Amino acid sequence: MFGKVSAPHKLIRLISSATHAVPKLADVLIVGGGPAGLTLAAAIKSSPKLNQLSTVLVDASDLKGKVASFYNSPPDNYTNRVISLTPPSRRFLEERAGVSLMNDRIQVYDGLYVTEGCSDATLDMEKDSMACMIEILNVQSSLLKRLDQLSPDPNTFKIIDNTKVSGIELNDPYDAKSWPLVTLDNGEVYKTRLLVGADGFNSPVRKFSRIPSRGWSYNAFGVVATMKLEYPPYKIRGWQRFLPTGPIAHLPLPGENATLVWSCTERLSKLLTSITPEQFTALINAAFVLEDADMKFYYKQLEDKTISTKELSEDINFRIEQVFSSSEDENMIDEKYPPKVQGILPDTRARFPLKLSHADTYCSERIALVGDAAHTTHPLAGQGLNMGQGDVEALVDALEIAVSRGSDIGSLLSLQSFWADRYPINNLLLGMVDKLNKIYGTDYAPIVALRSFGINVINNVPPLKNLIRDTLGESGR
Amino acid sequence: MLNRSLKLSKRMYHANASDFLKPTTLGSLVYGKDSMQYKVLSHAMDVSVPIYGFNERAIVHSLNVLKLPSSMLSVISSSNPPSFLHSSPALMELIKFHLVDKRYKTVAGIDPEAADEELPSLESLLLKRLKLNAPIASRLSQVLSQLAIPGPFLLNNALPELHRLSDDLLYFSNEKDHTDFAWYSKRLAISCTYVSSELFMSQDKSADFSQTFEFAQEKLHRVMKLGEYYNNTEEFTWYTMLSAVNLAKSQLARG
Repeated sequence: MFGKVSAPHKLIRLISSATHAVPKLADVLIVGGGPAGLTLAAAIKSSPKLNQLSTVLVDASDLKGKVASFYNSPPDNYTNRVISLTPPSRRFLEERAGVSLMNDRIQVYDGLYVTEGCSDATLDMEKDSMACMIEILNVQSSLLKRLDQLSPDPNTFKIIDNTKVSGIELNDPYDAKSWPLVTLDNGEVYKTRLLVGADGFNSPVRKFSRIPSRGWSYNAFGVVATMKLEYPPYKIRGWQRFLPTGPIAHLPLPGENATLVWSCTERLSKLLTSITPEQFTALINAAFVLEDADMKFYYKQLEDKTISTKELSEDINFRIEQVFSSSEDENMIDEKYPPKVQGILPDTRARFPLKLSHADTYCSERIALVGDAAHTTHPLAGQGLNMGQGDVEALVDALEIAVSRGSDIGSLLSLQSFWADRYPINNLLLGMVDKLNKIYGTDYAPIVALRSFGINVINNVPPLKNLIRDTLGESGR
Repeated sequence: MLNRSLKLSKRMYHANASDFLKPTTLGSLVYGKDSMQYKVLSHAMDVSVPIYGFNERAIVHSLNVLKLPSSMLSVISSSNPPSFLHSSPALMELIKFHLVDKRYKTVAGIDPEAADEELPSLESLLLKRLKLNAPIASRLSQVLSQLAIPGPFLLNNALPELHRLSDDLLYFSNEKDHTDFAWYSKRLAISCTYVSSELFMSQDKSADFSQTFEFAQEKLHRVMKLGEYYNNTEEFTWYTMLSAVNLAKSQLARG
C-alpha cells in the first residue's frame, strides 16, 4: 500500500533532480573571495591536517583574471582600497597561509598621531612597525598566487569565479543537520559538509542560516582617495584628526604616496566626491590644520559655488601659513601636521556607507560566518580586515582540532570553539571603535572639554596609552 | 492632591449625560465666558497687568474701572484656598485664568477633525502661544516665580495646566501622535520647550521677541529630534544587552 503511494513521489523527485545538475560534493564551500575567504582557502590548503579537505571557493568577481594578474603586473599607481594590516594578521598570512605579500607595495608605519578639530588635545601613539598599510588587491592577489603555487589537486580545490550563488537550501528540509545544497548561477550544484560565509555585509549565507545580526548605521560615509605628497614624510606614521563631522585619516604608502579615509556626513561626502580634484586636495590640507569654523565656511562656499578653485586654495594656503607662523617652534610643524598633499590620483575618489553590525553567533549547523558577514565596523581604527583575519585563524584552529579528533567539521560542536574564541574580541573592538566615534562625533563644549582632558591624561600616562595602542596594534589578540 | 483624586473618581463607567453637555465653565475654571469673573479677569489681563504687574492691585484697578465694588475680590478668590506661600488667593486665580484663557485662545477656531494639511504645525501653535504672552512679557518672571513655588497650587493647577497645554498643542496640530511610550516623551518634550522658552522670553530684550521665537524654534527642533535620541538610546541598550547575552552564550558553548 505504502509502496504504491510513494512511488509517484519518488519519480517526481527523480525528474526534478534530473533537471538540476547532480550535486557535487565538497567538504568546505567558501562563498566570497575577499581577503577573508581567500585566506581561509589558502590556510586550509597550507595546513597539513586540512589540505585533504575538498574545498571550493565561489566569487562573483573576476578573481583568476583581473585580481590574480595584479601580482605579476601591478599598476604604477596605488589603488584606493587600502587597509591597515596588524602584525598578528600579517604573521598569520605569512606563516600559516604561507603567503608572500608584494613587499614593495607595503608601507610599515610607526604609530599614529591623533588630534582633534575642536581642541588641541593630542594622542601620540608611537610604536615601531605598529602595523602596515597594504592594498586589498595586494592581499588578494598574493593569496591567489600562493594557491596557484600550492597547485592542489583539482579534485580537492577549485576556485569558481565570475559566478554567483543563486540559492541555498537544505538537502533534507526536515533535517537541520543535513548538508546544504548550494546552487550556482552557472548551473552547478554543490552539496557541502561545511558552508562558510565570507560574503560581506549583505551575506546570503547569513540570511540562509537565519542568524540575526544587530547594529546600526552611522548615517555616515567614508570617502577614500589615493594622494600624492609634495615630499616624502619626515616621520612615517598615520595621522588622524577627529573633526565634528567624523574622523579624517592620512596613512602612508611607499614613497610619496598616501591614502585618505575621510568619514563624514552623507551631505559632506556628496560634496567631497563632486568637487574638483584641486578643491578636494586643498580641503584635505586644510582639514588637518585649520579649525572647524574655517572648514564649515569652505563647505558652505563650495556648496553655494561662490568660491573659485584659485580663491579657495589661496585662502587655505594663507590660513595654513598663519597657523604655521604662529607656532613657537618651526620644527614642530613636521611633528604635528602630515606632509602637504600635492594632489589626488584620478578616479581614486569613492565613498561607501558606514555601519556597525554584529551577528548573534558565527556558526550554526554546517555554517560558519567570517569577516564582514559576521561583523562590520567603522574604519576609524583600521580593524575591519584584521578582525576577519582573526576569525579565519580561529576557524582554522577549530577545523584542525575537529579533523584530528575525527569529528565532523560541519557539526556545531566542532565550530562552537571558533565562535567562543572570536566573539569576545570582536565585541570589544566593535564597542571600542563605536564609543570612540560617539565621543568624537560632537562639538558640544562640555564633552569636548572632558574628552580633551581624557585624551591628555591618556597621552601622559604611558601604561594606559600602551594598552590602547597594543589593543589596536594586535587587533585584540 | 485630594482635589485631583476626587476629580478622577467623578468619571463614570457608563455614558453620562453631563459628558455630552457643552461645558458652561472654561476648563478647570469654575466660571464660563459670560460670567462676571471672566469679565474682570480678562480686563485685568488686558489692561491692568501691563501697568501694575501680577498683583492684587491690578485686579482692584480693573474693578474700579469697571465700576464694580472691591468686595468682588473675594468672589474672584473664592475657588482658591489661602496659602502661606502665595501672596493672595485672588492673584492665584488671576494666574490660573491667564494660563487657561491663553490656552483656549491658542487653539480657538481650529477644527481638530480637519485633514492634516489644514491643521497648523506644532511649531506655529507653540509660537502663537508665546506671542500671546507678548503684552505681559515684562511681567512673566512674576508669573513664573509664582508657578514654581512647590505646593498644592503647583500640583493642582500649574503642572496639570502645562500638561493640558502640550496636549492641546499636539491635538490641534498636524503632529503625529503615538499610542506607545512616545505619548509621554513627546508631551514632556513639548512642555520642557514651552517652559524654557517662556523663561527666555521673560529676559528677552530683542525687538518683537524675535530671539525668543528663534530660541523656541531651535529648542523644539532639538527636542523633536529627541525622538531620534530616544530611538538611538533604545537601540544601543538593546544591542548591548543582547551582545552581553551572546557573550555569555559564546563562552558557555565551549562546553
